[in-house]
Amino acid sequence: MIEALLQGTLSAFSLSVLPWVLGGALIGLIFGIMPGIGVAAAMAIALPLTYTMDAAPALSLLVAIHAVGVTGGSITAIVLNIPGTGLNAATLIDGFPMAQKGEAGRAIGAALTASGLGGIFGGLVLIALIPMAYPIVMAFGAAETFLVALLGLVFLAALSRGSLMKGLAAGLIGILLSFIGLKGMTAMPRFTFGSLHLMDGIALVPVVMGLFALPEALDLVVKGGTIAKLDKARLAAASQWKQLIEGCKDVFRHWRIFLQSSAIGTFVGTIPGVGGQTAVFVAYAQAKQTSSHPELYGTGYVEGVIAPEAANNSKEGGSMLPTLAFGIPGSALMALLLAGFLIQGIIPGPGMMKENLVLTFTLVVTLVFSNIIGVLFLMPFIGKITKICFVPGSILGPLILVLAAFGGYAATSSYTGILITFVFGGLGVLMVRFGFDRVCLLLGFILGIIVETYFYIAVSAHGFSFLVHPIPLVLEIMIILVLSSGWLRDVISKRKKRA
Amino acid sequence: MKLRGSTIFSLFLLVIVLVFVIVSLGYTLNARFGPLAVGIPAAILLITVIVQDMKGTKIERAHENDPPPRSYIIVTAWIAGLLIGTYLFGILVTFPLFTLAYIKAKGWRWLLSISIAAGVFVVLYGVFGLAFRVPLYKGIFLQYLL
Repeated sequence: MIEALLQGTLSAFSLSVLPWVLGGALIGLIFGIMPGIGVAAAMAIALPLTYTMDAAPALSLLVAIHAVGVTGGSITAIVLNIPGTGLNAATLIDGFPMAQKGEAGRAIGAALTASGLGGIFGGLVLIALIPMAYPIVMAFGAAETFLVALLGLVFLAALSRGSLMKGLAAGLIGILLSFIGLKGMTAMPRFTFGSLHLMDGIALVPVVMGLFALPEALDLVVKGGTIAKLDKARLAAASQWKQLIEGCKDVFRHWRIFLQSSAIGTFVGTIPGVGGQTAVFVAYAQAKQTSSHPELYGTGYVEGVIAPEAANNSKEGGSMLPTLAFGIPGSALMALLLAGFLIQGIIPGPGMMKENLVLTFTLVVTLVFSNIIGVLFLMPFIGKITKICFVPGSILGPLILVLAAFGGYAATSSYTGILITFVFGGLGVLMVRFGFDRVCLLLGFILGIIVETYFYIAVSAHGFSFLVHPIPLVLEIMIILVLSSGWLRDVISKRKKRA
Repeated sequence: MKLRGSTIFSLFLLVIVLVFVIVSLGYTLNARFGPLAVGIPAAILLITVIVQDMKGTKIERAHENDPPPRSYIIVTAWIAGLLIGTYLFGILVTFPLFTLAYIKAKGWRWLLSISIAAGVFVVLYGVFGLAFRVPLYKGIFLQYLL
């Protein structure tokens, strides 16, 4: 095993592989930054290139694109409130308010460091888990997936800012919206009202663009000014490098949040079908619940950037486990990676660990290395990027409007995508105005259909007896703990006061 | 009783939820279970929010530094123009023109306005259209002509 790891490491840094890793990381970054295009498009475009390549460079190229893509998306989420990919949606909750406070450099520093280290964490866990992959992945069926997604939904209450009832209502509306279209186990189109455009449901990107980017763009357009609201912000801009280093240090200062979020990301990543968005929101909500300053979340608190970014990249290591060990792609991106394997004539599965162990380790080392490269590529441009926060709203506002509209279009390849972006934009503006939490609606929208689909599969396979299986029981206890944590915290603090 | 903006918005959300609930009643058991299990609690929550809102004595005041409603109407008109323009003439024509018109209307110089609009065109056509091969929506007018 150690010999294979060494050989894999040497292969990853060999001249036949390294240039492809560097190229892949660059492509991933560019596509990640482009709103609505997404990493999947980058991998799909790169896939035909791999036909004539050897297995190690071809698959390393795809892994590098995949690993770094989500890192680029965090930059636009922080600076413009436009997440490059749906996976960066949680980053903007605290990232953009930090930019408004003139701390964009610090937020980006924290995001990049947490992303890079999170990716390394996920890769190392993957190396450790490869020998014992089989029982871990096979232990997670539909029942467990349903309960993990449900656990994510339970965090609605924790994520809700302001009125709890309004937060929960927004989350439930998000779930209802996720039911639109022909999906799940229902075998019939729902709430499409005869429209073919709604048959596939509502895509995530237009929803995120509308809910988050448009209200901020409209605010800029109507009120003028700049993204960075403070007068001192210009002073802060002069020392973006100091902020960047401060952001890097923040990850080590908040090491517990980083480790906890990376572990959550890796764990959720190993479960096929749950999706990366679940990982980032669960990590964010868990960080908020366990933080000593939960009240600061959503106001531009650096922990709120560290948690989703660490989970975002660490989940890549986890999600590669079922793909490599069983040929089960846990996401669309992993399905594209699987296609890359098949093009090379390699069939991932239990045999992969015996016949292609060196290649497996080459890919794992590439995953870890790509995360470092992605961060190093971006670092020199941070100073320039953060200057966007000081561009006048009358110039930046229309550009964000156009970019968000195009993001919505690119994700759906139809005019309907633009319309949906603006419909959700209007909804976002009203939600902000009347105190309904947009994050809750988004979380409900992401997890609703996953919960419904896996609930039906679990009930079809086991009846309701799945609720008393060992892993579901543990997850149910976790759900109860999360639900009662607020109450428990109150009781403990009251007792402390009495003492 | 005077209805507040927040109450009207909650009522609007309630109507949406009720539409989901009522429409789902026509579905099969499997298809309606989820929407009903979610929609009914959502409706109850929203009714509670509305009742609390109507009982509340807090007077809704305009937020500090809120621009006049007229500016929101103007922005809405700009967005309507962007949507209609895109529908008719497509992305490649409308997005740069919208950028140019808006920035110029805000009093910036022609050179700056044209440069930024040209930048938008280059990014859309060069980066997305040519490099990334994203098929750019042409709009019904150009689709008819080309």
